[in-house]
Amino acid sequence: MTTNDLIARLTGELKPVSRTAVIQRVATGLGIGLAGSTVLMLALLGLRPDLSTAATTMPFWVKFAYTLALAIAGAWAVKRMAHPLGSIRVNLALMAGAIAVIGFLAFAQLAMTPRDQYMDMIRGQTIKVCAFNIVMLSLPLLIGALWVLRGLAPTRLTVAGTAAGLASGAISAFVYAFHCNESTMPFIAIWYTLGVLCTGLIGAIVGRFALRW
Amino acid sequence: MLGYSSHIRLFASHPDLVTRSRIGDDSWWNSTLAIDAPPAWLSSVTFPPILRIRNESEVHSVEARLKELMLASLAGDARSYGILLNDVARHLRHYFLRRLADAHKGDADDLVQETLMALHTRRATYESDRPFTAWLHAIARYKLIDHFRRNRIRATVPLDQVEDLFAADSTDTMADRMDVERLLQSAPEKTRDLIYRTRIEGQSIAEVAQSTGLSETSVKVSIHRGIKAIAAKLRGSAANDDK
Repeated sequence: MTTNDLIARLTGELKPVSRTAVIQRVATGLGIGLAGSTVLMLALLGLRPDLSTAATTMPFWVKFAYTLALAIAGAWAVKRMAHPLGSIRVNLALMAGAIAVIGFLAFAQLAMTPRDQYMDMIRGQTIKVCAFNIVMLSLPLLIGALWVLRGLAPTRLTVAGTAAGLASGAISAFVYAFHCNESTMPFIAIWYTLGVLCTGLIGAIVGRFALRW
Repeated sequence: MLGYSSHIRLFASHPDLVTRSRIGDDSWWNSTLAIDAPPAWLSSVTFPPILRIRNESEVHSVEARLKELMLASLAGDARSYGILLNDVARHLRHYFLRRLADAHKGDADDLVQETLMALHTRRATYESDRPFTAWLHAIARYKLIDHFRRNRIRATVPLDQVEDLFAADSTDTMADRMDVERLLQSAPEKTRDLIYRTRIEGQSIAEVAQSTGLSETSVKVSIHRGIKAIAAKLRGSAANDDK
């Protein structure tokens, strides 16, 4: 096919593009991923039985706010990396800020606790599964986020993959918070953050290859 | 990253520089270097390519034109889109040809078509508050790198030509030359020329004597005095620096 034929074909196919097309695609991909992740959580893990009482306690809302903040910064990072020349420095700074806040809360709570209870607070009852569950619940989201980016134009694939991974990990942590019954700040600060960062790492590694266009 | 891309960068990041050079002569160069009259050697100096902007107004109008066409295309205007793609195809061909080694120049047309396809399917990612050429360039660059990666093309240069890869750093020589020029000003006018021709251009005393009509002895004496004057000036300025 000559270039002129191609131009004629593309011109014939032209349709108006909405200004919000990129945001719509991000919302679609992450929305479907969120649905998948939620179904997975309900089927494999289940809501925490004491959800209605937990919803009146501070730790539940800290988890809620912390994971939601990371999720918003992450979803926005995906949107930004969808454009050529995209950069996620601002988003990483916001995430670092959220981590700093939860880290501060964790230290504050440890400071008010007798030394012999430190390990119990950090371990909780679900230390073995927390980060793993977050990574597992993030898989539908990661697929969705990578689908979003593949159809758009990321030019730095590893960074774009990192954004996809962090967003997926953060949204999945948000979903997981409705199952998890841990209530100490150090637990959330360490294991939730670890789950999100692991997913970010997976995204960085996979993105390099999966995002080629 | 020269040519097309550096123009774009320059346009994007230093509008000030572009406007100033648009005056079209060397005047702002000279004022920047703080020399009253441009010394003869200045004309033989090759400035780094990024500063050699001849068609910056052309780049400016290309950006404005393509951006307008792109915005119309995004709104669904097929006629603008046709013009845009034709223009872009021409720019891209040039872009890829310049960046492909001779053995791969044949791939330029494929790359142009791939980039046009990418522009088409990913046109939603263009943000109207950004320069269109920068967006297009990022996509073209991605396609070029992708092409290198897929075909495992590595830029290789025979070892004995490796020197060509490194640009010579002429900053020091330039600064030295400027120092010399300034120092020569402190010698008497007649001697200045003599010193310049023998010590810098490397002519022999006999040659200079012949062309100036002076005797060899008086040429030698003038040069000696001139250099003494310069040395005195140097000592003086060194003493000033010490204070």
